[in-house]
Amino acid sequence: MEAKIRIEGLVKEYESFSLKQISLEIPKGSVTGLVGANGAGKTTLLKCIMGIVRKDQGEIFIDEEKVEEKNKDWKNQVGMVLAEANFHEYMNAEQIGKVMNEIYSRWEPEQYNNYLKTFGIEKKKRIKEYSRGMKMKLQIAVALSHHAELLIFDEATSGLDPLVRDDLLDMILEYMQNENHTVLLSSHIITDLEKVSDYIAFIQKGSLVFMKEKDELLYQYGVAKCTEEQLETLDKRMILRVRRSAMSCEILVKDREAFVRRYPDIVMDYTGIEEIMLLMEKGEPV
Amino acid sequence: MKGLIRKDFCQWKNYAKQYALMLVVFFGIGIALKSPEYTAFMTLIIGLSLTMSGFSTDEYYHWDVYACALPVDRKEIVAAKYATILLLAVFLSAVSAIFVGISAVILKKPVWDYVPVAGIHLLLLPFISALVYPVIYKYGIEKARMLYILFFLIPFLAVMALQEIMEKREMPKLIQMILELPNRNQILILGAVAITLLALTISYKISVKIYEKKEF
Repeated sequence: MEAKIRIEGLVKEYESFSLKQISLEIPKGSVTGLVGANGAGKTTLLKCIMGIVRKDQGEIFIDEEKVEEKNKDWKNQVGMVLAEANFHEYMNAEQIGKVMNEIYSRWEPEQYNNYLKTFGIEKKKRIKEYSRGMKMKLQIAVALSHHAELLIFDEATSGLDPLVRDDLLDMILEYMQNENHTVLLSSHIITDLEKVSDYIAFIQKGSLVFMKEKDELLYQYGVAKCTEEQLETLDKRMILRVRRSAMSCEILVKDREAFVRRYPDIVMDYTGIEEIMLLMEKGEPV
Repeated sequence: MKGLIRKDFCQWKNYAKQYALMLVVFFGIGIALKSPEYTAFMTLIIGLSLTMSGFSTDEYYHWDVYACALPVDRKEIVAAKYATILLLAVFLSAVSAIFVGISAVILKKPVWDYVPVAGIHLLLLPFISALVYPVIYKYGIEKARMLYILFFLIPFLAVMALQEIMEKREMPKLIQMILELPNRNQILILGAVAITLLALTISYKISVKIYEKKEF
């Protein structure tokens, strides 16, 4: 599958943190969820892609063209929604629309107004008076109103109530009706990612641990429970992580069927992405 | 770039009523002090206050993070700020000229002796901004705030010092020569304009260099 974004050996160093040799491909026409604990490097990765921070090493390609060699106009095709950045709160949606009309080359005022209506955003109401959900919806309205082919959401659902989050995720699914559209969505609300993502990329302490199809994670990975004695007898090559508690051990395996065939006496459950992430973060390698 | 300039003016428009009220108050004070040029100087302070608030709100809302994700390059983001200050200077000059003119009429003073004072915005506002903007880009608005006050005082202290020299001491020969020229006013104005433009050009280049390296 063609890659919308291709990253090779990306390194970004700060004093107390760094992105370490990240290589991944975001397939065109897919929704990729970027997961990881707070401070894992998700936002830094997104900022490197958009040129908000400068990478120290590595290459980033958009549509197989190096980002540095692209004209700034490439960002016309990108809609970005950032939890940390917002519009000036003394402005209103109408003013934001006029500003964006002069920034984006393919701005669609009608589409923008339709989104404002759909989201229940009053044009002349100051952003200061919006709820958190409405501020996010305004950013989304902007992101969806200029023929963006790539949407990047950075923790866009954080702090939103379930109803608003559900609306946002439905919007993403509707956006993805167009197979030329791609979404990169960073979040630590795993249930959101499970609902919409095709791929999950897991970042831990600046490194990419894996990037896999969501279905592979959900249907091939598994979590087994066993005793310490049983753990000693298991083939360690089948185990990704183990988390020990007072009474038992939880083990994360990446091929649950093979594990069940080999160890039918050990209880094996299907797992969710959240559990995989918890075990990857808090478990130990064997 | 137009969108970025519009953003600043949209934001200021939201404070328009407050500043209009302030202007009316300054106008009243100017009348009471029998000083038509008072409003012009206070309008300059409003201009400086607006530019500071522009940067301050950008920082508060992390606007630069968002701006860098837009289809504008960093040079444009900086250029927009400089273009905005020039447009603001023209606007405030016009507003100030009206208030100063009305003050002069009320105070029965010769209008055309005072209205040109409103032109200080065209020079002083961009000039002071040219000095401060690179500092804002490098260190942020909070650290640069004190500089605004300092750079605002410097021209007035310079004028006072010059007056002192003219009244009590012998002037340097060059200054004497310029002041004796028949078209000295035009020369002084052209000189001031040239210095302001030079300051803006140098300031812009420094600001772009700083901003291009910045990370958010």
